[in-house]
Amino acid sequence: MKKKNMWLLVAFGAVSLTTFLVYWFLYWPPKPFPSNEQIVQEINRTYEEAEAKVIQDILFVDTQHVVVPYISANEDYGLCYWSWRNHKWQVLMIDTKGEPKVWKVNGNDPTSFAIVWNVHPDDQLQAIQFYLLRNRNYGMTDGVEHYSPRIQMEKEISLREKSYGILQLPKDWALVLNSVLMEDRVGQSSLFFNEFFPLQNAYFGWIPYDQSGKEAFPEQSVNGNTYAVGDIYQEHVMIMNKIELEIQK
Amino acid sequence: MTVDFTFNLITFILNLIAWVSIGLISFRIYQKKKIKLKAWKVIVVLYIGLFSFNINWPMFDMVVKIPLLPLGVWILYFFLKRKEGRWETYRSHAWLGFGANVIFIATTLLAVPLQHAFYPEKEATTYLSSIENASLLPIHPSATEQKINKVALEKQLPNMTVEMVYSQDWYEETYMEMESNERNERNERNERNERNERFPYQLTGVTAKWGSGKSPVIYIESDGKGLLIKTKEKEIYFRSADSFLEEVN
Repeated sequence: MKKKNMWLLVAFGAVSLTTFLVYWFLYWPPKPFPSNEQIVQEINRTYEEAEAKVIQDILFVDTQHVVVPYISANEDYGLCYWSWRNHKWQVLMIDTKGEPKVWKVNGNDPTSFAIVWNVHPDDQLQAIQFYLLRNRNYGMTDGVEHYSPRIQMEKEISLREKSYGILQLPKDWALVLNSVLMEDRVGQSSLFFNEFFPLQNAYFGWIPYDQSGKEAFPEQSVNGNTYAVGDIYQEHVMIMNKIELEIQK
Repeated sequence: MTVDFTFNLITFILNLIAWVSIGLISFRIYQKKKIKLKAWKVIVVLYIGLFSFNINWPMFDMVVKIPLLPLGVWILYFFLKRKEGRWETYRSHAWLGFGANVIFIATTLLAVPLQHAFYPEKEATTYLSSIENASLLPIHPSATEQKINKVALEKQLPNMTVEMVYSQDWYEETYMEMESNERNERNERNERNERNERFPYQLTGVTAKWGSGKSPVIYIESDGKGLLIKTKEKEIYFRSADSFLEEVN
């Protein structure tokens, strides 16, 4: 009888410990974000070449995902991606330059996508136009004709106040992107369709504009290094020219 | 998450009927047997009996799996024959498992005409059943400021006709007119991509008929009279007599 009681106690203890650990690692609300000094330390400890010096801001994508724009010792403007995971604020990735990218925070759910950027002030940009695109396409499979309309949606942001920022994917973009993902799934086995697959037909673009409202090439903001530590999914944002876009006839 | 799970009523009911009939047959065999078997063992044997080597036979828009080799029955035979008389007790259930494949073929074949009867592919109302929350999403700069006229759409839907998808023509028309313009007009126009998308809107907020298992993506033609509907299996093009779009006041 005594032995049985003890086993019961052990089982009870094990269950409560597991529950606690699961809660601790997965569901515990995030602790306050580290201080600027701690961030600098953590970035440089993770990737020495980043040489982070000044933290510009702390941008919350949601309660568990943060983007930190920073300035390095040699005057580069970079981005550091963080996530609250395993009861810790962890660095996921470091970009030494702040060319725009799309962070796919929650796999291929477009409502979780955020465009992030930190352009160099020396590039003297005033605005960016972001684009969601899919090329017009047609074809025939198994005797069935199909036509895909071109998608070209635009969103302009101003850099006058801040040269960095995040933009949660606009609602209508997310809706349209979601439908494109559904179309892409046609004729594909679900095994093949991975939750973290890069986009196949849709893509993102950006056009930077200078102070006089002309297209500009942001020399100082592109061609940086990327150092990835944790699981992070992103989409490239292609730099474009106005000429690659369509306008109303 | 990108939830596009939609409930396919016909498949659900047919599968239910199939499983119930397998259960009934199995129960009859069980009753006739002198030795009373454990229910869970019978279920395991049935399930393993289902394993088979199939050939996939494409037939009207779907693939019929024709069972050739009773792999599951063989596995059970090798496993059960080790004990005297055990194979004999389970043999009929093992073969019933294999036979169940035939019942499932019958359900897939039956699903086709039923699907057509309850959810006719060539009627727009199958794809646009509830339109109270319908809204128009411009996806291309050639879209003009319009909104959906729900009353007109509701009225047009039952009378819409299926037309051919001339994908290549649609694609080429978009570019052809542009080239002829180029020849006549000034240089400054040459540099711009003046193109109108044939389907510059998406229709969101509508749901397909309940139980159809469809989650269509719907594009609207620039004249407001055409619907290009994409489902997992098909692409279908509807035209109406009158426009169901109206100017935004």
